[in-house]
Amino acid sequence: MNELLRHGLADLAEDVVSVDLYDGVVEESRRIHRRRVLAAALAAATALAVVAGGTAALAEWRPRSQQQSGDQPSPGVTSDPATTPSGAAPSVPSGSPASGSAPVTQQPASLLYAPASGSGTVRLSSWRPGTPSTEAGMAIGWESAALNVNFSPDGKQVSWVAGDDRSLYVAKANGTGQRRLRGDVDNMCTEPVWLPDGKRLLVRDGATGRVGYLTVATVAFHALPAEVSGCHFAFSADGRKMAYADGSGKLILANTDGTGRREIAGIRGTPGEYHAFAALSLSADGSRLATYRLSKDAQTHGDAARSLWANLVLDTRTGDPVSLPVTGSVRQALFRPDGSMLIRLAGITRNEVVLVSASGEVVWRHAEPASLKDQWLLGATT
Amino acid sequence: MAAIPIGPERPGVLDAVVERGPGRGLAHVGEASDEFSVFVRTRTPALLRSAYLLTGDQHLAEDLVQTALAHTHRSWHRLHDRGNAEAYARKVMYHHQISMWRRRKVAESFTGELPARAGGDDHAATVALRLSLRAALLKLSARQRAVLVLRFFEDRSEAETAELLGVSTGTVKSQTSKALARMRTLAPELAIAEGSQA
Repeated sequence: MNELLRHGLADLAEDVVSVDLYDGVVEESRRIHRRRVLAAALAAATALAVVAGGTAALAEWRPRSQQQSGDQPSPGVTSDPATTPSGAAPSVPSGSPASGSAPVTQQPASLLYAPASGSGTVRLSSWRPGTPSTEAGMAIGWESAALNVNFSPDGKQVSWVAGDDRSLYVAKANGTGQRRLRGDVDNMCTEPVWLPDGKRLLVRDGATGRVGYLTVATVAFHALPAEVSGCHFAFSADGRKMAYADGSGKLILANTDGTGRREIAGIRGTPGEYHAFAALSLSADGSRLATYRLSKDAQTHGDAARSLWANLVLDTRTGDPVSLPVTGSVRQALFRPDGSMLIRLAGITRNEVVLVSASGEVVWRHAEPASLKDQWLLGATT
Repeated sequence: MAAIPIGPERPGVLDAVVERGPGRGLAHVGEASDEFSVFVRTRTPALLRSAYLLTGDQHLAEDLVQTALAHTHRSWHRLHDRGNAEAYARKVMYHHQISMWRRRKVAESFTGELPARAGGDDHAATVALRLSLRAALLKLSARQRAVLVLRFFEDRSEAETAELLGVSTGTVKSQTSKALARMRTLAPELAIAEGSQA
């Protein structure tokens, strides 16, 4: 037994002198608040600057696969020799073609939301854009809602983790047909995320710590051949790329088998550089990523719990923000399999949702019901 | 809609989702300040002890605890109802220490003179042991030191340690094993046994 080590540590710890830190704590808390307010203001300024971009802004917004020849190819798709998983590596079938001419934008029938916080049991909800009220969805523990509930790309299935044994459940989006798939999966940090095929979930096995794909029908789990360490994953709809946060302030783009990892430029996570702690939504071809970029003086170190708020969309090749054809403060951005995008803009009493086509045109914009203001947009049905 | 039964609440889970987005309400800051001040003043000594083992320095330990408690303050309205504020503060503290070390390669050290003790247990053997331990801890990585502090000072299980550090239990096992092996070499007088369960 290592009793000497235990006693030694306990003895050594007694060397510290206890002091009253209360005043310093409150002052540090205020500094954190000021930094967050400043970051939000900068994000709003970035979004407003888009107006001056005009046509150029629209051109820049489009995914590279939609741009004319002469543009740089997407490194997320073409520069990596290992984009196709090989051997026993799980593959990710294409969710939808993401190249060539812009596809017709599919109208979302309903948008799907979850409370970002709460207590006890809460309800998911859905909203038909243009209508005045929401429809209550299935009941779920607030921790599951805040930490890990996710909808499949077509919005027809939902997954979540709950219980002491961290069981993974799936059900139809309306809550019927519930199935417990297995226990001991990560319920935060690597919260389960649907792959573009809508048949598998990325999960982290609690026993081994390995990240892999779990097939919903068979419950078979295949660990990625390349060990991956990070949080908050997002997939491109073409099934070739995934993005995630490494936990130290960097964002990583990788092939869906975990190989070909590279850091997204400009998000270095070091003092004096930008930080980000979540990959929130990846465009269909992997060239654009919605994230919450923290200012260069941010002192935060991230959190295992997710936050789905975004403040900009990045070019995954350069790390630069891309211009969006909207004005206002971006609150969330969600890429859709057809290449279109839902952008939520912050309002005082209610948010606004804008549907932008793959070619960068605003299809429609609607004010959300006020009850959705602090809820997370998780997906859409078609 | 059918209500889906869910599992029981997990008391050990981080209970807060730290606000990061723009426009989030901040009115909670300042609320329940009396409760928060009581929390700070009653839990600071215990947090400082762990922080001191992590940093090896009185001032660095104070900075670390202050940072952890400041983040706890920002989420206080969500935390204190669940009685999980200390767990959150400790999680922030451990993550922050490892993160700061990784980013800046902070050269924490258990250098300088041993602080004088008010008590009378500073006999020669004890002092020698403390010196050996301090010197050995100095040579561990921040993560290895964190694992040792959690496992052998706070008596956390491997699962609890993994949850606090945000890593797998396998990583905790391997880091503990490596740390103990290093300690055996650096401070043989501690008679550290092999294996992470020892």
